[in-house]
Amino acid sequence: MSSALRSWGNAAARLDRRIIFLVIAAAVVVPLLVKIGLPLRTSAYAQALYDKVESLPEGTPVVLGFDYDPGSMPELAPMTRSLLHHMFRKNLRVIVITNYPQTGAIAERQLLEIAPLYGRRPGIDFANLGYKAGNEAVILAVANDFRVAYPTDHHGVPTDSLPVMAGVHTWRDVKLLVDVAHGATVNNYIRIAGARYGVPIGAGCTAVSIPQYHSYLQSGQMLGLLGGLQGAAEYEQFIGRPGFASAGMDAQSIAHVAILFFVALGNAAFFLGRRR
Amino acid sequence: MPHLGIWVAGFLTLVIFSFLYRDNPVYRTAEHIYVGVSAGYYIAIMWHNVLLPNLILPLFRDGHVLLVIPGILVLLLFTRFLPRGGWLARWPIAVYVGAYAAINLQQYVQGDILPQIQATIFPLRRFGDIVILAGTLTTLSYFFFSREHTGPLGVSAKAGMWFLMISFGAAFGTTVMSRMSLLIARAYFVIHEWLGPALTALR
Repeated sequence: MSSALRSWGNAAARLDRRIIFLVIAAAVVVPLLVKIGLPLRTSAYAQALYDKVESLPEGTPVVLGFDYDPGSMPELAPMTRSLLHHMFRKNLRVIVITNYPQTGAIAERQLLEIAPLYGRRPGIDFANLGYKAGNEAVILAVANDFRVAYPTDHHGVPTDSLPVMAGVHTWRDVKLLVDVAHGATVNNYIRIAGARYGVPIGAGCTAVSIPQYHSYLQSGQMLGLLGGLQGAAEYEQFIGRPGFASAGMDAQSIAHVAILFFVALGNAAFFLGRRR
Repeated sequence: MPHLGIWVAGFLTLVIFSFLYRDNPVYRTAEHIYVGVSAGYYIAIMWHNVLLPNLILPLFRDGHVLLVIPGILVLLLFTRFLPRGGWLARWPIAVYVGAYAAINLQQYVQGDILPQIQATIFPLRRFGDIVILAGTLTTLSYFFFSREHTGPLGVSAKAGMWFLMISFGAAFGTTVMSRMSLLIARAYFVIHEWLGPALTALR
């Protein structure tokens, strides 16, 4: 028996990795072809962010940070899209900023696609202030005035001439900042806009970053968080507009089960194979 | 019918996945295309969104002469490619490091370290709060190397090591989740934006 187990363990340890790739591919592709509809449980942190946006009165200035590049779009673009739908539906004044030079155009594309659905107009109901080099220095400059940090918007129009910016000068005029980011820009906003100027901060992040942001949720420095594809799917459910993230969650769940199986198989193979 | 860009992206996606079977020349060609396109894209983005609006136009069009100083610092960065005088590149790096440290020193203490310490200590109302406090203290003890890890310190350090292992596990788990999302997005693109519409158009 022991020898049979050992030989099985050795065989499993020699499993061609291409078989693993095939199984994972099937676990991802099949749920995308055949909708399974596994239940999606929403988290308290995603709910908190949704509730905060929902509680803001019409015309409230909010800042939405687009801090990701094309490599992180699968997880983060559905978040910004859902947040834009929600914010425009609530008729909030949306001010978009980014710390990445390539992201102003990504933000512009989403704004021009979603804003017209709710009759929102550029410059009047929303502004894309685009990218400004400097990271923390730019966030600090906004403490003086948005017009200092961003003299013009993404199109070169003077920020001061935009009706949407009327009465919005510093961080103290912003009632919510949501940064959807694949890097450390959320931390910068927490340290400066949150800690020094009391701006309520929410965030969306890739799944990789979820553990690092939980400490900010626990400390109360961040009010809500959307984490990875699941966070994006949760927000799509909240606003009643299921999109790519919701469609991808079945594949995500089944792929995770497949990975768990291979982790268990690998460990079993390791322990059985080394028995003497 | 999907447009040409979708066909190119779909084909290159499959070519990149071909590496999973084995390395091959087609994959390497796609890899080189990716690196070249990325480099070209970022150079163009940096020129149009960083150098042009922040240095070139304000300096030469608007006459902000003080921008000569950062302009010179930028040029000094490239001296490292010269056979002699590469040490000049250290000057702009020194300015950058100094400015970054000055901007961030206070922010980190005021906005990160102190609130995190406070939140770790107060209030101890729930079981989770006690776990966080225990995790913080035992993990700190694991990194205390001035005494041998024996006796109570050894027990604490061992517990700290377990907390670290659990946090590494969580980090690895979420990393797998993130990478799966990228794979799902590619599969979604191939099925629903490339092959699906292409097959529908052919019918």
